[in-house]
Parts: sequence; C-alpha cells; structure tokens
Amino acid sequence: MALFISITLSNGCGEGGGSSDANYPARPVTMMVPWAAGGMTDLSSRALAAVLQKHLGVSVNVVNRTGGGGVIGHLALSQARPDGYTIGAVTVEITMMHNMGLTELIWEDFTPLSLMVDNAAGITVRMDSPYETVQDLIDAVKADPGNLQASGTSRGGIWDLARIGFLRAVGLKDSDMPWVPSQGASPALQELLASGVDVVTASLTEVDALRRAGQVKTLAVMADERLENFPDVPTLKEQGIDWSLGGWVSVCAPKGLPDVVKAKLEEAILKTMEDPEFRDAMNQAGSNIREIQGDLLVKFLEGEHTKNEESMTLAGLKQ
Amino acid sequence: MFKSGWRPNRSFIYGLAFSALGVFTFVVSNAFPGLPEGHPGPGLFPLIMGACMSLIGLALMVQYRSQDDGNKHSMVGDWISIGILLLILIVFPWLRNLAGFPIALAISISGVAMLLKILHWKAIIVGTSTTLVVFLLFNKLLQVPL
Amino acid sequence: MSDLFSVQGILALLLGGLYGSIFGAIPGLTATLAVALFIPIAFFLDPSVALPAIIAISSVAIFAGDVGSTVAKIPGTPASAAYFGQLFRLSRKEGPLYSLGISAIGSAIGGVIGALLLILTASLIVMVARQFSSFEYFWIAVLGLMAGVFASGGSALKSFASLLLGLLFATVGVDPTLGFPRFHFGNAQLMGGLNYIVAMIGLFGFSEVLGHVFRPEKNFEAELEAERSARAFFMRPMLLILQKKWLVIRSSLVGVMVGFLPGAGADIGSWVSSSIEKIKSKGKGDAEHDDEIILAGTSSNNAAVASAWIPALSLGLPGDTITAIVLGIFMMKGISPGPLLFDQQPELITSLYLTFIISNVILLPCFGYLSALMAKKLIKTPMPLLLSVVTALCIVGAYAINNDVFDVWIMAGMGLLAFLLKRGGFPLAQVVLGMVLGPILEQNFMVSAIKSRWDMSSFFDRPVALILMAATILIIYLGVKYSGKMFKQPDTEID
Repeated sequence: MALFISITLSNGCGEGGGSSDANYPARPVTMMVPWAAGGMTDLSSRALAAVLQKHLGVSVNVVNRTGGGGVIGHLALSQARPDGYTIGAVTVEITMMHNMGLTELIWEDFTPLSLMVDNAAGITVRMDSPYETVQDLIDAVKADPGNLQASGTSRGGIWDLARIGFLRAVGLKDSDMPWVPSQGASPALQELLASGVDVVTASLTEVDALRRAGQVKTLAVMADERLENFPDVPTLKEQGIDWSLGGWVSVCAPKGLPDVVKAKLEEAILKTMEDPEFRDAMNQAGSNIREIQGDLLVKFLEGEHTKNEESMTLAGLKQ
Repeated sequence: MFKSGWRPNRSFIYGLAFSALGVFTFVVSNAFPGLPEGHPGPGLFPLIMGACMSLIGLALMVQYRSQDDGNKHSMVGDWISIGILLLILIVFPWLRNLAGFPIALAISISGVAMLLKILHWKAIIVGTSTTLVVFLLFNKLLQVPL
Repeated sequence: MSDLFSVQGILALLLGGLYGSIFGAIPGLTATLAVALFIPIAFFLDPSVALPAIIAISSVAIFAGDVGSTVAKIPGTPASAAYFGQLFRLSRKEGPLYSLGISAIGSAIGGVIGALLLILTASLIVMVARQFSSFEYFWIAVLGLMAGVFASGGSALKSFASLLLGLLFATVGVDPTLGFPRFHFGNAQLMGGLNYIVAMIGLFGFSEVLGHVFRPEKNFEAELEAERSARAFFMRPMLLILQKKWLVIRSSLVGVMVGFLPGAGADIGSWVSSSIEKIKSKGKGDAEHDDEIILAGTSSNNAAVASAWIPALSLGLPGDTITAIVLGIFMMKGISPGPLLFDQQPELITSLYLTFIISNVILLPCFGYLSALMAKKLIKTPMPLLLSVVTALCIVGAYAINNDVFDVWIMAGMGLLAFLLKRGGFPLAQVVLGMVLGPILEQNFMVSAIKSRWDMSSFFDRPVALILMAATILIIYLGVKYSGKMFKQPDTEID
C-alpha cells in the first residue's frame, strides 16, 4: 500500500518539475532520536514516525543516536544532509546543553518543523505530607529555608530548572530548597517515597502511575493552562505564580532545508498530529500533544532559549 | 644501555604507565569545578582514582624492579603485525566513507586474513565470503542498516 | 514464558547450545569470547530470546572446554585448565567418551544446583534490596570492588590496577549526576562516554585476534579419538556420580559461592574446588583420584556460571564477565536489574530460571555428546579462518550498536589495551567490573552525600549499611589472609 502511494506520488510530482526537491519524498526517511529506546522522546517519536509514513507516503525509520546527555544525537542530526530524508527529534535539552559547555549547538542550527509533545513539570509530594497546596509548601520553605529537598533528574537537568524557576517566581533562593540529583524520575520518586527527598518536580506523565496508586499527590502543574489529561491539577498561574516549564520534543531537520521540502514535511506532520491513531497513542502514554509550527514555533524556541539560559545563569550552572 | 645490567623489565614499565595515567587523571580532574559552598563536585572521584592509580603504579614499579621476569623476547616482526592490524581498523572509517560498508569490510577482512597468513587469493575469498555472511546476518536477518 | 517456548525461543536455545559447544571445544576460544561475539546479535534481538541464548551458550561452552583437554591435552577454556591433566590421563585409561561423560554429567548437576540456588537466593536478596537506598547501594558497590580485588586468582595489586582502570573508563563522558563533561578532550563522541558494550567486544573479542597475530598458535592435533558409545558417556558417569554425590554437591556449593563473588567466575570456581580435592587426596595414589578431581572442577565451574547471575539480577553487580555482558545488554535496553526487574518483568525472570534448568538438563548432555563425537574435527579448525570471522564480527558489532564508525576505534583501542594487560598478567574481568561498578559507586556516593548535606556519618548510621560495611572489612581480611593459598594457580595468561 505504502509502496503504491509512493509510486503514484512520485509519478504525479515528476510531471511537474525536474527538480529533485519537487519529487520529495522519493525514498525512506530516517528519523533520529537523541535519547535511548523506551524513553519518552523515543516513544513519542516512534508513534509519530508510524503515522507519519502514512501521510508522507514513504517509510519513516527511527534510529536512536544516544549518549553525551543528548549531545551526540543532536549533533548528528545537525550534520546530516538537509534534503528532508533525515529528520529528527530535538528536545528541550537543546536550550540547555550549550550553557553547560557541552556543545556549541543551539536550536538555530536546525530547521524547526513542528513542536510535538510538551510535558509540563509538576510539584509532587508524598501522600502523607502536610502540604495540601503550593502555598503550604512555599510557607514551609520560607519558615525553614534549606530544610526541604527536591529531586527529579540530574543537576542542571530540565526538572532542576523547573525547581529553580519556581523558587525564583515566589521570591526564594536556589539554596532554600536544594536539589538532590538522581538518574531520572523513577529513582527520584523512589527517594520521595522513602522520605529521602520531599518534593519531586518531574512531569505529570512520569508521576502519574504513583498518583493513581494513591502514594503521591501533585500540588500544581507548571503549565499555562490545565492539561487535557490531568484536569484536576491546578496550574501555578491560577495561584498567581508566573512560571511555566515543560520538557518538550520537537521535530526538526538539519539547517538549510529547501522550502518546498519544508512545506511538505510540515503539512504531513500536521496531518499526523491530528490523526486519531497518533493522538490515541500519545494519550495512552499520558503525553501532552502540543502543535506549534512556523513563526510561532520560532518564537517559542527563542523564548525557551532565553528562559532556560536565565535559570541556569541564576543557579550558577552556566559555564 | 643500562651498564649495571639492570634493565627495566615488563612490570616496571607497566607500573610506570599506570603511575603516569594516575598523575594525568589527577591533574586533569583537579581543574573540575566544585559544587556550591565548597563541596567537592565532579572531580572528586577521578581525583581519588588518579591518586590510587599513581600509588598502585609506584608499588608495581618497586615490587618488581629487582626481579627478572625471564620472559621470551618478543620479535620486532610480531609488533609490526600488531601495528598493521590496528592500522586496518584505524583506516576502516575512511574506507567506509569512500567505498561503503560492505566493500570496506571485505577489503579489511581480506587484509586481516593475509596477516593471519592465509595465502593471497584465499584471503580475498575469506574476506568476501565473511563479509557476505555477516552482511546477510545483520542486514537481512536482524534488519540492522549497515 | 511464552516467548521461551515459541519457535524463536527454542531455536535460540538450540543454536546457542550448538554455538557454545563448538566454541568451547576449540582451544583458545573462551566462553566469554563466545558471548562477546554474540553481543551485537543479542543487542538486536528481543531480551526474552537473547538472554536465554546467552545462558545456553555459556553453560554449554564451559563444559565443552573439557573436550580440548580430553582429546588433545589442551584446555578449551580457562575454566577447564584446573583439571585438564587429570582429564587427559583418565581419557588414556578409560577412553575419552567416559571421561567427557563424567565432565558433562558432573557439569549438568553442578549447573542445576547453581540454578536452584539462583532461584532461591535471587528472590531473597531482592526482598532485602527493596529497602535499599543510595547509602546501601554505595556500600554494595564498595563490597563488590573489594571482592573483585581479591577474587582474581592472581596478584591483588594487579587486579586492583585493572579495577582502577575500569573505574576510570567509567568516568569518561557527561557525569550523569552533576551533568559535567569529563575527559572528553573536545570530542563529541567521547562526551557520550566509552560505550560499555563496544568496550567489551574489544576487550574480549578483538584482543584474541591481536594475541594470535602477535604469536600464532599452531594448529592442534587430536591425540585420541572418541568412540561412539552412549553407554560410556551417559550410564557409567551417572553411576560414578551417584557414588560420589556428596563430593559433587560440596564442589557445586563451592562453585556457587565463588561465582557469586563479583569478579570471580567459572574458572576460579573450578580452581578452588579441584584444589580442595587435590589437597584431600594428597599422599594417596595420584591417578586413582583423577575422577574425583575432574568431578569437583567440572561441577563447580558450571555451578559458578549460574550463581554469577544471582548478584547480576538482584543487585546489578556482575558475578563474572558473562553476566557483565548481560548487564551491558540490560543497560542498553533500558532494563534496570534489581527489585524493579522482578516486579515489572517477572515473566522474563521465570524464563531465565527455566532456561538454566533446560540448558543444564537437556542441552548440556546432548550437545556435550555431539561435541565429543566431533572433537577431532573441532580441534583442527583452522584458526586464521576463524579469527578472520571474529574480526569481521567485532567490526560490525562495534559499528552496528550505535551506527557510529568512531566506535570501531574504541573497540580497537580496547582490544589493544586488553592485549597489553594480558601480557602483563593483569586480569580483564576486573576492568569490566570497574566499568560496571564505577557509576554505581560514584552516583550513589554523590547522591547520598548531597542528600545528607555532606554529613559523612550518615554513611554509617543505618543498620543494613553497617552490615555491608562489616562484610567489606571481612572480605578484605579474608582476602589478605587466604587469597594467596586458595586461589593459587599458574599464571596461564602470561606467555
């Protein structure tokens, strides 16, 4: 079937112009993922790729290029040929890695195609903790600065930035609620349950299983609006705290992608993201779909770039 | 070279290499930044390991210095073979970019086969057939792009 | 479980067994090399197929190492080196099929005892490990490292040096707790760390090729040929084992204990068990006790193969080089060993247990018989041809895992390193142990220290942590006192 579509597609376009860009796509597309198989980025990218091939008419193969805290995969994508046959997932880390001196690479080294997923950070505590609202937590931190500890990922990771930004937004210092590094959300949650730490700032998607099991409660979500999948969790903005942050995944191509190809890809990705098949897969994983394309996407990326740089400078993480 | 009759035996050289690596690690990781409030940071572990390694190296040098390990002398030719084998692997990435994975592998393995003293035309057959088998195994059976 | 009894699962077991029996029988090709070359293939298979295949390979290959000792007086794997002389002498007297039968049936029983203890203790340890926090994991890593220093069978100083080298390799790349890049020298690929699986292919696969190129081994001649007699292979050894059941059980238990220690595997297990029997039979006629020494060694090494999986599955510590490879495959697949694995994938654990029983009860005797019959041909396998294939698998394996030619260089570098270390008499298993334990040690230390605000007394005020610390001190004491005596063996690695 896919073969049939691709043949008709390439025939149809072939009559129009001689340029190879106009024939796009004529062969399989590779989608690079800078994180390991089985993670959130990988799962979303695979879900996208599976449906994208339907709308693109050629197969889309996912390749994981992992390592270096995401540097290697992002670097490989940026160095690929900008012909539309190599696209990839670019994650929020692209706004952070250069600050830590890991790489020179920033989002401007890519051709942004679309935002795909944005999982907002949450503020999660143990079920038996005395805090019922964010205000309770803030009061407790103010009463005894440095006593409560938070965790969620490595130092300087995205959930650490969530903590830093939150503390700043309510007028607290970085050291008032120190960060305990962990190797990801699930070890951090384990520490939370064992009372090793008091707060976890990982995304709602990651804490969902424990929330449903009644072992933890989420006081707030760091999003602009309440999330579709978690309508019962209030946002920080509702409570007058101006801070939002999420771990997002976008689809990008190497820099210098021809406009014809870019338009075709954008259209196919948009169709994919509206496809119920993709939406169901993402909802099942508890991931929050967020479609942003074109100029809005550029604006979004610029905003994230400055916001995360500010947080990191503030926390002394910028090299 | 050594008039006293003492010549650095193998263990001494290993000890020296370990010590050098230890000192190098120590120096490089000493420059890593610490955590706020003066707590040790990412440099702590490499520092400890560098220190341990230089001490172990010293111990190896001292312990074995007076002994003669009486090993058979290795021949220069043996080391040349090792060098050629490593060279084949060092050149491999370029060869792959030039000729593609299958051809690069076939050429390299033929080279290795010759090094292992398989006669010329047989070596080429070994190289090509090995490549074919490995390629089929990975590309077709396991669906790994090469 | 369903996966194990699928067509793929059964095929994986059969092919794994066959591959192991051939590899083990050829002198110079070890069980670890067999598993190392299987890595790239295992990596692209589903874990529920790949892991049983690894169990089948290692169980059968460790036994098949005795084939070389029997027909050509050359141990096929280091694990058979402890008793190869006795095995050959017995073969001369009673025929190779009988002596291989003793070693096959003895291995099978040792393997089953090891597997049963694996099933029992792994779940027990997991129950304890459920309460572990970063403090306990830190002490576990210290304990593992200390065991690794003394359990190498050689000089403690040299194994410490190897261990440090592994620990150092583990620090290359972005520090996963603090996010700081270390020792990458401006190279983006190094920033990702030294890929552990790729390193293993170099350490255990490519180094063999280098060693052979440096000093080619001549082709071996089989001195004896096995007659076709199923009775000699199955029935007579069975009767002997029934007579000496306590010896077999005792040696298997010794094997289990040695295999459990991080850094000590089947080879050390068989050294310890057969030296116990050698000491016991001292003074009496030598040749009369050959069968006992063989039984002790052969049951012990297969028991160690199984028990090495106990710490690997329950704590994420490798019991030997083969389980270190398994842990690497876990890592790359995003499976974390320990309590979580037992909760989330109980069916995988069950199928691993079942594979051990099947491998030892069915595969080992059957493929054992087969490789005994093929012995003469296997011994004569042309090494250069084989090593060409090994090289090709090393290159493709290193490349395919991350689609990166840079990894071919890492693999070659690690191969050279392993070659040099072996020449110097430094153990390789300890390098791998260091690479696995390094991150566990460092991350749990840093997390604990930051969590407790650098209050070092918090490392000592938890009961389980104290017990682990006491065990560490005990290991150091026993190691210093006994390592020289118990693990004594000729330095087979030095050329």
